[in-house]
Amino acid sequence: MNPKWQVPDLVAAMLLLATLAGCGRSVAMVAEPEPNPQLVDEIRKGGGEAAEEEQTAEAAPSAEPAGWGNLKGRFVYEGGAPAREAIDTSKDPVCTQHPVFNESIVVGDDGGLKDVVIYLASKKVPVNPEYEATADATVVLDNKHCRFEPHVLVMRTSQTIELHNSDPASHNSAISPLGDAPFNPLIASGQKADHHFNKQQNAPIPVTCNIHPWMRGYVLPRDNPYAAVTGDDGSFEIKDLPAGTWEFQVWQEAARFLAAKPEWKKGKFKLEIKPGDNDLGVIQVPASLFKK
Amino acid sequence: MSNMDSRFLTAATFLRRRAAWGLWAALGLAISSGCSTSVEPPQFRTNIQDILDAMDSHSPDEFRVTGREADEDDKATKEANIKKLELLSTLTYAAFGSPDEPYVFPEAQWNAEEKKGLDLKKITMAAGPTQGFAKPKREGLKKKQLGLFRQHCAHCHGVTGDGAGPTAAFLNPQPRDYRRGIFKFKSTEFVAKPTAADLKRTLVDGIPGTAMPSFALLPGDEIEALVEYVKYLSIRGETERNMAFDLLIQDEEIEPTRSAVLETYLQPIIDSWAEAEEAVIRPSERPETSTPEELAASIEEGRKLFFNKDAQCTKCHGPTGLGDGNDGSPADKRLFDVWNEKKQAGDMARWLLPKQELRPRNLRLGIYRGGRRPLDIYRRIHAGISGTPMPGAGPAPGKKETFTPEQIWRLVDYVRSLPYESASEPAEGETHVAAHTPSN
Repeated sequence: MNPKWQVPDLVAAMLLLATLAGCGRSVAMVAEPEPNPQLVDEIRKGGGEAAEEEQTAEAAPSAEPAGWGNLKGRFVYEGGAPAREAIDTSKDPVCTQHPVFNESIVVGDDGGLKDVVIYLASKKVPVNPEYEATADATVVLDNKHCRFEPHVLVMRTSQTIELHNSDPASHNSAISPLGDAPFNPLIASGQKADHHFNKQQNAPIPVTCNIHPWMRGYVLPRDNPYAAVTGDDGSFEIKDLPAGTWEFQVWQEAARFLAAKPEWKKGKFKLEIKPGDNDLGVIQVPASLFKK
Repeated sequence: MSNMDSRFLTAATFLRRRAAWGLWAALGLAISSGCSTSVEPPQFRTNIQDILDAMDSHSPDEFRVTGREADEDDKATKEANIKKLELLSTLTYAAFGSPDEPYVFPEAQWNAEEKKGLDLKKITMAAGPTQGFAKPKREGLKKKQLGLFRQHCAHCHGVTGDGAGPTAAFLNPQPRDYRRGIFKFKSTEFVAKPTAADLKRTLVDGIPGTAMPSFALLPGDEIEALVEYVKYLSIRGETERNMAFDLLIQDEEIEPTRSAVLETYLQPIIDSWAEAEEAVIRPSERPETSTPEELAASIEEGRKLFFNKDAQCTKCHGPTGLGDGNDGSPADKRLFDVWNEKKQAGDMARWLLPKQELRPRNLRLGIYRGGRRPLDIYRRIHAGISGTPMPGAGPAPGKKETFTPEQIWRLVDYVRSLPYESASEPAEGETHVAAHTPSN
């Protein structure tokens, strides 16, 4: 051993280093939020109940709107349609009979962007009585030709989703909604499975089949009926919206919250709905918004 | 010369001693000044990661006080987000306390008549700082805290029960993150919580094939205290997660009152744990297989079902049961459990733990994480495995059975025979995975 250093010195040095290293706070992504001790005491004592009751009494049901309006528009992919990637489905011979393509960006011949979801993000929105008839309807998400049909499904939380299997082999349909019960049934050929969502989601959630791992669809359960998915030509229409200014959310699989216009932060925008027809026109979506 | 040498050495020794004193002094200074924070009691970590994942947000700047801001709107959103996080922290703290001072609302405490709630006595016993290597003193301890969770569990599962303790990064599979309220190995239906007996069994037996050891040597009351503490951390985590979802993702308001937290968030989760007993899968009787002929026939029938297009077992477990059924898939089509699916590969800083692929079980090893009894394997096939791609083949709410109980028992017999079967040629129509070439 080097005579200049004895064991106690080394121990001291190491301890010092360790202590200094320990002082450096771990690299926190976000500062830990601190609880408010006063409020903690109040909550534990059960305070604030009276105030809450008053507020509940005040919350009046949403007033009848001045009229009902429709909103339509069309999303167009700026730049040439990207080549569609064919998926190797040889894992299951049942799936090779029909070609399957990656569906994260689907652009029609006329540039229309398919499967863009547009939905009302505002809360406490009056619902047109026309929608009552379909409030407890059943919507179908089919496993067909080893893909989900439709690729993106919007529905209401009051409705039932029925997962079908039109293929000759079994599929599973795994859904893990946030703050809600997960679901993962094995669905044999010709069988079906019902499911209810207890909570609405703020963005479409994936439905996957793990037996055929390329299979990925999306479902968006919402408390109100105001949601639409663009069709083959990129157009959509939401009917019978209450008149007034509301906030809308736009989502697309590859871009997530779609800021198609610079002022649409995180894909959100406010719009005044007037009675009658409202038209967003053609919305050009720059290719740079999509993840490759 | 020798004089010079000795004088030189003396000086060196003197200097060395001075240096040593300096080091000791510096050490003392460091301990007394800079590190006062290290003696603060540990706190539960707020579940910011799941919030960011749910927001589809790629930037934690949305919560960071010193983060970048594009403009005034961004600044306002961020300030609102930070306020919401503080409220979330306050609500969660009010309902559950801290690792040293656990708390449960009186309404949520154990009710022996209704058989539901959290037993604060047991939780307190498992809570607190570890008592070190000495046998925990049971008498005269403040609040009867034995520090059991931090002694036995926290190094893998983390103080918060987020599965991100210091050891976690080195383990495959990663330790369970309790905060989703999802547990894989249990006797209950897919969506149901585990029973207390299920958690106890995991603690006593460990989980074969993983780093989870057996704690069979702990006294019975300590095991029970730990089971209750795991339940407490899970309920705490799920309550926090659901409140975070409503506050930050759905932009809902939560009144800072006991009744708001209890009625909307805590009570439904407490109820779901109490309902686990009723969700235990109790299959109809196993078909008689007492003679070798009967067993062979049952295995043969199970084998046919295993390769059946309704079962699809081979797509993940492989045509010969080696767990290699999905190996040829490209990197983005691999299998992940719900704890890993949102992570991005290689991004350690954001997710605390690396993204870990899920390997379907190799059925030829004879190692079964959820237990090796026929009943355990029956329950895996019937309900599937919560939090994973393994689907349930039995009946579920809203769904008719894919296989009858008898068929599931046949599958159980075949699966149990696999470790003793020679690695056969795949059944007709099945291609072996070697035919695929990984395309990453």
